[in-house]
Amino acid sequence: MNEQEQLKLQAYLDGELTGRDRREVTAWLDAREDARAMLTNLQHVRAALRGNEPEHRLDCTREFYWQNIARGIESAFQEPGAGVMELVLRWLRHHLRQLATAGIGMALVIFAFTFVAGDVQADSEWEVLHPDTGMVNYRDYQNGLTVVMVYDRSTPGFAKGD
Amino acid sequence: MRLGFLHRTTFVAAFCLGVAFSTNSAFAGDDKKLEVLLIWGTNQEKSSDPAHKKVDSATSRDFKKVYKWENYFVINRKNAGVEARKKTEFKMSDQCRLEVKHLGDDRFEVWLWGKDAEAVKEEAVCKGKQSLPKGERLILMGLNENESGWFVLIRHKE
Amino acid sequence: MASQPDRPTLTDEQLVKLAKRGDTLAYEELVARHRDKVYARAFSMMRNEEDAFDLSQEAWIKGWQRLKQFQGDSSFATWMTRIVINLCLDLMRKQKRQRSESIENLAEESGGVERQMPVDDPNPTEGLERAELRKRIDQAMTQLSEAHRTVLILHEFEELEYKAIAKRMKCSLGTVMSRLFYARRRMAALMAGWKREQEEE
Repeated sequence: MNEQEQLKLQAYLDGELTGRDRREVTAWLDAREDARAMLTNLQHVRAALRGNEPEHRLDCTREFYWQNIARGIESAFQEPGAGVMELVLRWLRHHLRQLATAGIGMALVIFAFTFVAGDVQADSEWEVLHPDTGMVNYRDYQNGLTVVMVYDRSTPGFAKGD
Repeated sequence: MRLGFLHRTTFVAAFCLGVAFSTNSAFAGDDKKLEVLLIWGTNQEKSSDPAHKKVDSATSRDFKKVYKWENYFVINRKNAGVEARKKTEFKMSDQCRLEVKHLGDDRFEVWLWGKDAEAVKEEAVCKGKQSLPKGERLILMGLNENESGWFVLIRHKE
Repeated sequence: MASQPDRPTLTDEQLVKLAKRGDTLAYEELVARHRDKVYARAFSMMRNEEDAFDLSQEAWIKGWQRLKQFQGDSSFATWMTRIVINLCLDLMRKQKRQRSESIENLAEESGGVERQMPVDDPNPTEGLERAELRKRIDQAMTQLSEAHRTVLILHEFEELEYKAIAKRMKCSLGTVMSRLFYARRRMAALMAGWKREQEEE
């Protein structure tokens, strides 16, 4: 069978042919052994695949899997976290009146002083301290809530109530 | 009252330093009142310990938005003032301890300690610096082996 | 006070209705029910656990965001697998732009040797237990190129028509037919080979 015939035969099997093309393939099948063998082979492969999709299961708990999705759902509705520059700008806006009163020189003193003292920092900085621990965190700006989830490897059973 | 140039400069400098100190209360030395709750999330209707009461309805509603458990029980509750630049300890259970330090303004440094798999040795789990203005909450959470969840809720009290 | 619905006992349709009203617990129940299917589809396409995990979760987030568009024309699980397939295709396109096609893939595109081979075993899966067959199919899928595997998944597992596959894969109808034919022949050849090995043992 040539390539065009092979593809037409396959289209016949998949119900993608109508009218004259379909009648043409039916005629081949009546007359040609190679067409019948090819169709049978394609039919078996198709049947084997359709009923036997390989199964792959997630290897994590329901809660852990959902946690990341919940975080994604939440963050989709939240404003993005303010970066350092945004915080600096907020600080400058907030103190603009005092800066105007005190003069630029002293303003720089205040700015440097406050910056060194750590006023301009990220809202939330977390790190794991245990080698077997992973971490996921997210921020719900609307409700003023930060969640830090530490997970598995050696989950401490702090709150077992049973 | 008329001020000479020197006096004016001194006044402005003093004013500015005053502003600087007032905007960075790390140096003010005031206590910050924190409430810490150890919470157990479960589908069980009751805790085996009758002393464990359910969390308030608002907290329960917030938790249920994100977590699948139906019930949340308070295992322990601690209130304490956290001082500037000094660690305050919150021992929530035999296996869960928290250390909190006030970094200034509404920022805190938090260390979470837990027991190892054999529940013998205490190990640091995580630490973080967190901005927690009044009314806001920080939740540290994880899963128990029995598919329930544990939560440490830290609230900056009004 | 209205009583809480017992979500695990509800049908998918009832859970979707609740989720559309913002009930995340109902959505979580849907995730728990169908997460393996969505992950399995992503894994079948990507053959990589990490990508499959990330894409399956991304699909669930997208599913939530687009839930109002779900009209129930297909089952919820089918709707979700279509979302994850689209995400997989997007990632494949991105990855493809970053690498050159291997010589093997080019040979497959042009038809390979399987197309020319006569049918020597009409039923290469005959006599295989179901679990064994699934394992063999999984192994064989790994040996297909991304393009051939994808067209096979979309046609045999998703049961999409040629036209729908062409649209999703952004290629011509002829390319879909050609890739599908090659993929089936290659699967048949691989499985016939394993069958022969088994008979010889």
